[in-house]
Amino acid sequence: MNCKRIKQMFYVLALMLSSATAHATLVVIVNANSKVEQLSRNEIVNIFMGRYRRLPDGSELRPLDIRGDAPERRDFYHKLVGKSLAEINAYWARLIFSGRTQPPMALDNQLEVLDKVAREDHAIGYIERANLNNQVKVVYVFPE
Amino acid sequence: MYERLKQGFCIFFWAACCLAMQAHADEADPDAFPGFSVHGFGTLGAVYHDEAGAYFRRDDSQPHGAGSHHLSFAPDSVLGVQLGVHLNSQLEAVVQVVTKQTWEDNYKPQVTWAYLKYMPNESLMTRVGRLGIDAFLRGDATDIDYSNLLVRPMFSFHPHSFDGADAEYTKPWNDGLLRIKGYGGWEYDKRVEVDGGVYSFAGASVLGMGLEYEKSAWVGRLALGQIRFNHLADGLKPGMPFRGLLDALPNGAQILDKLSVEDRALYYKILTLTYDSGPWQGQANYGHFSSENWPTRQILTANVGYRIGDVTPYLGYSIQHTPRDIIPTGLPAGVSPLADQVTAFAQAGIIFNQSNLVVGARYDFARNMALKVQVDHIHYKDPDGIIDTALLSAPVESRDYNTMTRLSVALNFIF
Repeated sequence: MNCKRIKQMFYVLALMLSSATAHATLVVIVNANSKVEQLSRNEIVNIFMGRYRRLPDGSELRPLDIRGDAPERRDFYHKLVGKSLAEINAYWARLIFSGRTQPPMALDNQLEVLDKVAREDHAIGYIERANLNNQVKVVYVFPE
Repeated sequence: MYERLKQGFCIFFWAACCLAMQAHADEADPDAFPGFSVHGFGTLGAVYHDEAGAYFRRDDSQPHGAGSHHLSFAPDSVLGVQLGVHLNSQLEAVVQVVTKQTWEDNYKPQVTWAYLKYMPNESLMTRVGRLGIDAFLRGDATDIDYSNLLVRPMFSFHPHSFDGADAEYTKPWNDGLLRIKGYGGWEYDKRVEVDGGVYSFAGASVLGMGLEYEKSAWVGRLALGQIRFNHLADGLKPGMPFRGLLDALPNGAQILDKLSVEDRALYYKILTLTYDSGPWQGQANYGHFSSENWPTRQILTANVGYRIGDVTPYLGYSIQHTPRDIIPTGLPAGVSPLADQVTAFAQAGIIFNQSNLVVGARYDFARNMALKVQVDHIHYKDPDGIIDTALLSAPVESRDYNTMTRLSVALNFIF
């Protein structure tokens, strides 16, 4: 087992322990080099709910989601739009099967979201504040 | 019985293949083009009512309805699969195939969507191919029961899709989003009349537009459109018995003109308002349907739901009204009661006077699955979605209101 694999397992364990703590602060992040400094809640709703992903400056952000019933995903949509995951899944079903748009790319956990946002200029995702690093920056903080 | 089993096995095998394809699609690299996606949806629905002599249809694409005093799975059961090929970030091709009861009373898979979509940026989208009609908000997703709160839409708009093109422009405005959509093309589906006759929409043109504004939890939409038919119903064509009767009546030409849709348009205006925030969700629609010769039909629907944990109880109400202007045959009273009844019945086919109170609950018991239980209490004189054989023998002019109470259970799922 190599060092990189051990490091990943350590991060996953740390994420699992942090996720076990109820109501961890969620933040929305973009790449550290992104021109986006701050987003409104309305803009984040538009981006993550497939309504409109273009910003006033003309740039477009690519949202990343966490797969399945992860606690962070449940917490994110509850804080963003007050909806349960079942309601979110029903919402996306309507958009997919009426050909409007596709849901955000879904990744396995916060670590993957953090990694992808750190590597892509136009990616936007959500993680717990405790897991931030200097390769990303926060554009929105959900109230506790 | 053997044919039903064979159909059921084919559907199950087809669904299993789709699930396997979905598993493979999940493993594919989503950043790579071309990429593909496979999704599916379905409903196993059962409906029961105890109104003897009455039959319930979800819409008039179905040949006959659910009879009384037994569970019927036909009206609401559906299985659909959608394959998407993502050619690049702007170009996508999609095919959706659905299995549900057809006008031929079988479950032959039908292509309901098949289009090429071009989306150069977030503001502009255009599609060409076979597309759903969203004459009312979310009307292009009426088969996707998992995405809807109620067991079925509160009124049916048929046909559901057309062959043509649409285009939509989205623009941020005043902290909200303004969307303008236009569509046009030709119909291809069939409608089954109350007497069992089949009317083909083939060749009918459809043209419409939608103006929508979405801000925060609210969406308002105005849809305008028309369907222009290009031929008579079979029963009205020269040489047919009913046409022969009309040709012999003093007011026959007037009645024929009223019933004829040849080169006539049906115009629709539908206003929708939705609210969706937190545990609350609600929708209201007002529809106005008019034409050069048919009586104007108005529909008002409203439904609201409130989520409590994994359960969302809901209430709904709809009411439809059409003026009951029946043109008499012109014969002296009592000369031919049969002619009076037949011609009045034919005219009643384009009249709808009905109300429906809906109470139900949705239970999201598992990921991507929901169970719904719903009771409809329908009060009708000129029914929509109900074939009442008792009405066939009663004089149209003296119809009284009847009621039907209907219990529906539906298992919705997506994959």
